[in-house]
Parts: sequence; structure tokens; C-alpha cells
Amino acid sequence: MEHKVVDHLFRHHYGKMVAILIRFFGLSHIETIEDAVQDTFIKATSQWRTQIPDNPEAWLNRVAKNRTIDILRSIQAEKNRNLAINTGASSLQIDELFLDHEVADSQLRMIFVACHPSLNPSEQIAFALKTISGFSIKEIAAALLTKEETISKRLTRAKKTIIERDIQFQYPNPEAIHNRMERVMKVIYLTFNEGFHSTNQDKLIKEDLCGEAIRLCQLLLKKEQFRSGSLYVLFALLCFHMSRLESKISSNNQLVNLKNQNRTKWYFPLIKMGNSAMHKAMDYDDSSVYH
Amino acid sequence: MKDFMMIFIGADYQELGLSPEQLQERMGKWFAWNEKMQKQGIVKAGDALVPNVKRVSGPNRTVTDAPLIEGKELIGGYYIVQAENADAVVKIAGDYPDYDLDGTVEIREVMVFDQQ
Repeated sequence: MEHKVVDHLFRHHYGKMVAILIRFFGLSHIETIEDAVQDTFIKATSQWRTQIPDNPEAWLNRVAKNRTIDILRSIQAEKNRNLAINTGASSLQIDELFLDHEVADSQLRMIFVACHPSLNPSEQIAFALKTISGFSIKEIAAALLTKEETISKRLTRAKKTIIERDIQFQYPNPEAIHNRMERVMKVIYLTFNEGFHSTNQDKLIKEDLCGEAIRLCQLLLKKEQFRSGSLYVLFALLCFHMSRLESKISSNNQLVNLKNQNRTKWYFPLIKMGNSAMHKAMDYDDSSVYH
Repeated sequence: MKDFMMIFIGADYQELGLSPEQLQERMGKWFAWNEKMQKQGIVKAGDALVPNVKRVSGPNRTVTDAPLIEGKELIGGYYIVQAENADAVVKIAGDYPDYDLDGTVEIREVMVFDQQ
């Protein structure tokens, strides 16, 4: 029987698994969890050479979960003290956390952690790309046109801040949501911009960055409490831009301005999505820089 | 037809710090290669190896854990395939996915003992 693995499954699943495992084991184990998830993919690359499992996602979830427990146990044994491995979410069995709505919920929490006000903006975007979107340090450096070393430092600093300030893996309080959403939208907008305006020759990285920004927007729009005119308008803006990603670069890699673009290359479904988001935005009173 | 072993040296994914996206791409290439060889019916055996190394050496059977081996010298796996001659295996090895990561394929013919 032939199995196909969905495009970008690993990258998208990286963010999902990191978010779920953090929800279960706690944000303080982020480093261990990221290692465990990475190990899982390496294991998959050798084990799936001859046969891809019937349910690749379930395989990844199971292996990542066990690997995390293994690493945490060995840390515990080394320290020879009782480390409460299970922090938080103890009433939920970990397997239940792998259900779709829980995955989305964990990823949303992760977005708010990434956009926490104690992290500075350059750390926020690097951290979001790594932990939510599953980019490697090398890819982030390429996307942001920065040195790998700089990205490493930003990530280390972000993780250190999260642990030192004991940032919780939670949604912000209702009264703080408005302010936090502004940061979240900014990170999404910047991520998109990096992809859209980048002079990076690597077309895949560009598309992936833009695609990630749109995906995160969609994720937020699914929850009533995060919806706003601004978020809908931002989503519309990204859809409209994305629809002409193909046509804005000529075959010899030169920018083509809007007037001269080949409109038949514009991707119509995205324009439609953007349009409907624009209409929805009208139901809200707020306005923003994205309007 | 003779048996040949293709030994894969170097390109340790763990050490190279590949991203999930890149790992998936590699995995796809290995899968496609394996499938191609399976369809041709030439694969006799093959495995990927766990990177942890233990070495036993000397008259005292000294055991060393050898994480000291550099990634580029590490054997990552092997296939045993059937082919007419070594040149045919060189051709098969052309599809090995990790040349761009400095990986190497060593081809060795499996020795057949004379049956008396």
C-alpha cells in the first residue's frame, strides 16, 4: 500500500506537538520538549524509509510524548529528587490533548506566550517562528536576513525570560486581550512582511512565511474572543497580498509593480476569502493600522 | 547476480540540525529510493543504524563509548542489493539522497565462500 505524507506535515506538526507537550508538562520544560520533538522527526526519517505508518500523525504524537517522558525521567534520575513531571492540565489525559480542538487551543496559548510583553519584538518573532511554525535556526536566520548566532541568542534570551518571569501557558486576562492582540497581530504582520518583501532567493521560505502568517490569523479567527475588525482586516490584507505573490516577481527575479502584473496569475480563491473577511470586519467598530 | 553492500557514511541528521521541513524532504527521498529498488526487486536487506557507538578493542577487550566519532565518519545505515557488477551498483547508489550533506556511499561486494 502506498502512503503519502502531507506536504509540510513535519513543520506544522512540530508546532502542534511542542504546544501540546508544553501544555501538559509545563512551559519550564520547553527546551527538553523541543529536543524531544526534533528527535522524533529524526527517528521518523529512518523508520519511515521502508514503510510510512498508517497514521503518521499518531505515530509522531506517540513517539514525541514517550521521548519527552524519557528525557524528563533521566533528568529526574540525575538530579535524584522528586521532580513533578506532570505540571498542569493534570485532569486531562495527555492523549486527549492531541484532539484537534485541544491542539488549536494549545497553539493559541503558544502565540500569546510568544507575544508576551516581557519579550522584545525581535525575540517575539524569532520565538514564534521556531516554536509555533517549526522553522530551524538556519531558516529563521535566512528569512530575517540575520546571522544564525543572533537568532540563537534571541531564542535563548526568550526562553530564559519565560522561565525567569514564570510566564504561564495561558490566555491573557480578558482586560489585557486587546493590548496583547495588537502585539500578536504585529508579529503576524511582520512574519508576512518578511516573506512578502524579502529579497531572499529561496522561494519556498518566502511562501512558507506568508502561509504561516495566514494560518495563525485563521487560527485566531476561529475563537470568538479574539475576533475584531482589526483581525479580520489584517486577514483580508494578507489574503489580498498573498493572491499576487506569484505575479509580483518576474521570471528574472525583478519586482513587477501592481499596474504591470499579470492579473490572470492572481489567485482568485484568496481574493474571495479576503473579500469576505473585509465584509465581516464591517460588523465591528474598531479600526487599526491594517484598515 | 552478485550481492553488494552499500554502506552509508556521514550525513548524521542529528548533528546537522536539519529543520522539520528538511527532515521530511529527506525522508521522502529515502522512501522513494527504497520503493524504486523494491519495485526492481533488487533489495535483499537494509537497515538504518542508531548513532550510539560502542567499540570493543585490544586484547583486554577495552570498551569505549564512541561519541568521539565525527558525524562525517559515522555509518548511518546499509542496503544489500543484487546486481550484475559494481558498476551497476554505482548507478543504483546515484539515488542516495545525502550527497549534498557530504554523505558518502561505500560499495562492497559480499564474498561468496566456495562450496566444496
